[in-house]
Amino acid sequence: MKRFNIVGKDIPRADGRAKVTGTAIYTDDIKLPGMLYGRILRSPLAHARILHIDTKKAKALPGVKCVITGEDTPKIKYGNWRLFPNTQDEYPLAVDKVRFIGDEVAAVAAVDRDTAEEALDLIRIEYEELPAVFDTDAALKKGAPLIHEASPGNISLDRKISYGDIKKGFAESDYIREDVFTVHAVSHAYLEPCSTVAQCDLDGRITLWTSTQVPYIVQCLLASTLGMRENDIRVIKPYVGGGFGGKMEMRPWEFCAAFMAKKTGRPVKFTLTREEELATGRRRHPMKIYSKVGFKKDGTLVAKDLKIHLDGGAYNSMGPTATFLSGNFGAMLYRIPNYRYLGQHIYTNKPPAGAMRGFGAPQSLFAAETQMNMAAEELGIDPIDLRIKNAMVTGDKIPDVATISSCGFIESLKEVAKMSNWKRKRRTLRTGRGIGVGCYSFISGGVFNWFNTQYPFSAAEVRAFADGTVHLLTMASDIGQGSDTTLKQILAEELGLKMEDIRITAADTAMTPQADLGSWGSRVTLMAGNATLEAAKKIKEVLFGAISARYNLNVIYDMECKDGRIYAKGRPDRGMSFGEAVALVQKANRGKPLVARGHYTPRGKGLVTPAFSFGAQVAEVEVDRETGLVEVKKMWTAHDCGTVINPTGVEGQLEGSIHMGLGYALSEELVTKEGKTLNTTFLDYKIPSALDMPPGESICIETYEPEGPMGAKEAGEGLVSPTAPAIAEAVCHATGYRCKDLPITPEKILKGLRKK
Amino acid sequence: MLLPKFDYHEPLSVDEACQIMSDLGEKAKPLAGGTDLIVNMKKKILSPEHLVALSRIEDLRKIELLNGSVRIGACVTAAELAESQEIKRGLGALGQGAGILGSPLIRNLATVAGNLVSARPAADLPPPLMAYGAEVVLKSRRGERTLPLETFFQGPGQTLLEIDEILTEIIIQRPPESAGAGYIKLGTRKALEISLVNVAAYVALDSSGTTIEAARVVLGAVAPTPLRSPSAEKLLIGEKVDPSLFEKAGQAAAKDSRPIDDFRGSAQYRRDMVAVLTRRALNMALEQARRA
Repeated sequence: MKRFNIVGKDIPRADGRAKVTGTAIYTDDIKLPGMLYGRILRSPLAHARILHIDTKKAKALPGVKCVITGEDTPKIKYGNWRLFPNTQDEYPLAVDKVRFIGDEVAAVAAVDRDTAEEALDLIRIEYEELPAVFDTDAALKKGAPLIHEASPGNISLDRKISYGDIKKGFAESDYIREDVFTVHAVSHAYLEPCSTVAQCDLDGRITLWTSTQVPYIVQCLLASTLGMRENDIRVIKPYVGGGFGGKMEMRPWEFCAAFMAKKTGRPVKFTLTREEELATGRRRHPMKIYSKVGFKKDGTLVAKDLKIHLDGGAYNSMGPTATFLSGNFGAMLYRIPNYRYLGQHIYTNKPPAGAMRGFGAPQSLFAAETQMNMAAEELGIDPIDLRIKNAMVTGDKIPDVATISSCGFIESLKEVAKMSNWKRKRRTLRTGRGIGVGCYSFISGGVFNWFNTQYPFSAAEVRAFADGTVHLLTMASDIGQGSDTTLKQILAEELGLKMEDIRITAADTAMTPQADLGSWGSRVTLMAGNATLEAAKKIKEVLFGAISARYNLNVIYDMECKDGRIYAKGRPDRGMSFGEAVALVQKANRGKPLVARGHYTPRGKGLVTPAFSFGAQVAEVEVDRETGLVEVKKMWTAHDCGTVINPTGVEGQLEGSIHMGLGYALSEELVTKEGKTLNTTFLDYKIPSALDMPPGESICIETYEPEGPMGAKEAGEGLVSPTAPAIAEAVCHATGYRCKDLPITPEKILKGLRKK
Repeated sequence: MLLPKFDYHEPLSVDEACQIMSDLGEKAKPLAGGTDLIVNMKKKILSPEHLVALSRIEDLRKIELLNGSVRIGACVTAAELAESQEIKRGLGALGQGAGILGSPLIRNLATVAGNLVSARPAADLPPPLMAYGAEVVLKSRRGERTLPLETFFQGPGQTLLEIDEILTEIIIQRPPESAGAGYIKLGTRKALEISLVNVAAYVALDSSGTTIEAARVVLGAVAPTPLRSPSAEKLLIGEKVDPSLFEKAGQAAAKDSRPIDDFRGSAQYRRDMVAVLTRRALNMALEQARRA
């Protein structure tokens, strides 16, 4: 394997010091002269027609500068899936109807937050309440209230995947099982609530600072909803305190800030409260998963028939992607020759579900992996052995869907079994203790162009200077995952420079090259990494040419960029420093700056992604059989993310994933009653505390992904999926209680034990 | 979440505080740690026009030993309680309750009196305090009265505290050497948790160390107020210690509890947990009593 200088090293994060010392500027830290503070009025009803809105009193309140409702806006629908305009089902402010408790109805901008808040209470709205539906079964019933006129039956869209011969597959199976799983809604719970500041210049151009994962998408959708040109809008992403999928769309406060800044001529800021975030924010899709699998006696998987009802809430949001990916991840880990999937995205009168770390995989894999564990039990085969028997390997293809160009899944399974002492513990753990396994596969960015961009999926510009520094410009968005550091490492590695030689400007739509679709779907390392690498390679070629000419080198010489120098390989005396080489090139070009562009768009890689990650995780738990409380004692993880660019970064992603997976499995749940979210504080929305985090051991199975930059692929998202099925299996091993409906609560465990 | 406007008073003595409370009547509320009051004001559940801060009254910040009793000032924080050597010696269950209340940030602000006057059914300090037979001292311009804590609570958020009164201290008679107590809080997280159920138990053994002379079992989060379990206590007092006795006491306590269903947990689960936690808390108490 190739030896690296900077890639593969524990390079401290570019943003670490600023965050730890409190000097990092987040959106809410921005204060502009004359800035107004905005607040949003939300629907108190789950489903209602808006009869009349009276804003007179609110407008009359001293300090209030602007009050708007849907009627004041251009009434243009938006949504991320703009390739299919019929999926764009949301207005920035409600028009005619509200569809969930929290739907945005009006906005106020005032001289301070308190006045804006006070003004909200003065807006009078007359509603005609409509019957509402709160779960997918009710939404699908004949005669159920219709949430969107354009979607009869409340099914907003469906996705199908099919290959092989499903009938024949089940006919050939010796053992078939059918299960229904349900999973619940959870919150991203990013530490930084959504925040945005808009400024309008005298030419009517907008600058928007916003806490987002997708500056480019916000720029485009803001333009379309405001009826403006894309390049009259500049979106800047300051430091962002986490997104996890919850900030990957344009949102109403971004529209309202821009619209009201334009109207008032003053900057406008919106920052959501934690209560707003939990009560009305995007969330992970609750799903009802019907899964039927067929095996041969020896454990060979033959067929799978999967149907999923996604509870989308009131709008599509990123549901269409989740609908597709849930189906894809129903069959990504194992060779299943005959597969059929039907996913239906269903409207209900609840806050919309959207993208959330794993993007359909945590739900689908909870079902798939639990079912795998149940099958192992009934077939009398060790769960890890059963997985190894069916595991995908490098070179596997799903015709027209996916090509697995690197895969360390079997190695992960073997390694995690060894690390956790699996075989012995499965046999010898005392009652109340249990050990279980769960696995995952995930995408390194999506290939499908639902946003219908005319630009490359990712782009980078590298400017090289005679002082030996380079400047990387990219629209890729570091939202806390560490992508700025990763991209700098890739660039430093390729150019033989040090981290401190590189300046980065990122995620500013007016300054960085078009375009980048944002931070989601674990796409940044691979896509922005490839774009950066391409730009670096172009710079290198130019510099190599100059050195070659300068030293009159034979064309057969190989050249090298290393330790800040560029030279003929094996002849370090024939070369010069990076900066000198840049100066030489500039002189030769009569002053022209040395700049190169790189870009990446995945092509010819099927329907899903350019590269898949894989991994396996084992959980050991102790269950208190009297109280039903579960304590996770330890987690072992072995995973394949290709070349590791930054080990500490990967470790951080892994620990964060376990933390999130732990909450998903055991304690986190947005509880709703008739569309109203009941737990809107961090006291009742139970993110595991530091004391609840188990110790862990992990190992990266290094593979080389040919499609990835320096062999890398995703490491940040897939890892969130195996934790819940691993814990569920461990609980079952400890107690005999098999959880098919997340989360695994103490009450469910005790009820399950009583039944036995 | 707008904090309503209010006037802020900062008396330097209890007398001065009582005078202000007497003058302002129901327009005023005493402010100690504010971890409950300020939050409720932001939520507009309470909107007093005046806040009377107790933080500068030195007398209210002390833990004192006097003639076999421990006197805890109203403004002693949960963190101070959890760390106090006076509390650790002989009142360990109270230290446990204080040490697990909220989070470190909340414990640094929240006070013992605040945890009582807010009268939340799931609060952490009432059960151990009641298990030790604590009394509360209420002062006003009209005078001073001392009440057993168990009579103080009237319902969620409701107590016998009059509008002009301030809870100034808590008095606990130091338990005998042969006594012990335990406190257990049940929640799904190990920190920053609100109790699904909590139980405090106190037992005092006779000189032979085999018979239970006195017992108190207090249940939290399973009724509108923290609740003593008379049936469990009756079953225990005068009996010889044996494992099945605590099991029965647990069952009896479960019968005395009156939990409700809510999104945090079902009534049935809470009732079942009363039995488990009571038994476990009694075992903790016994172990401590025997160690003496």
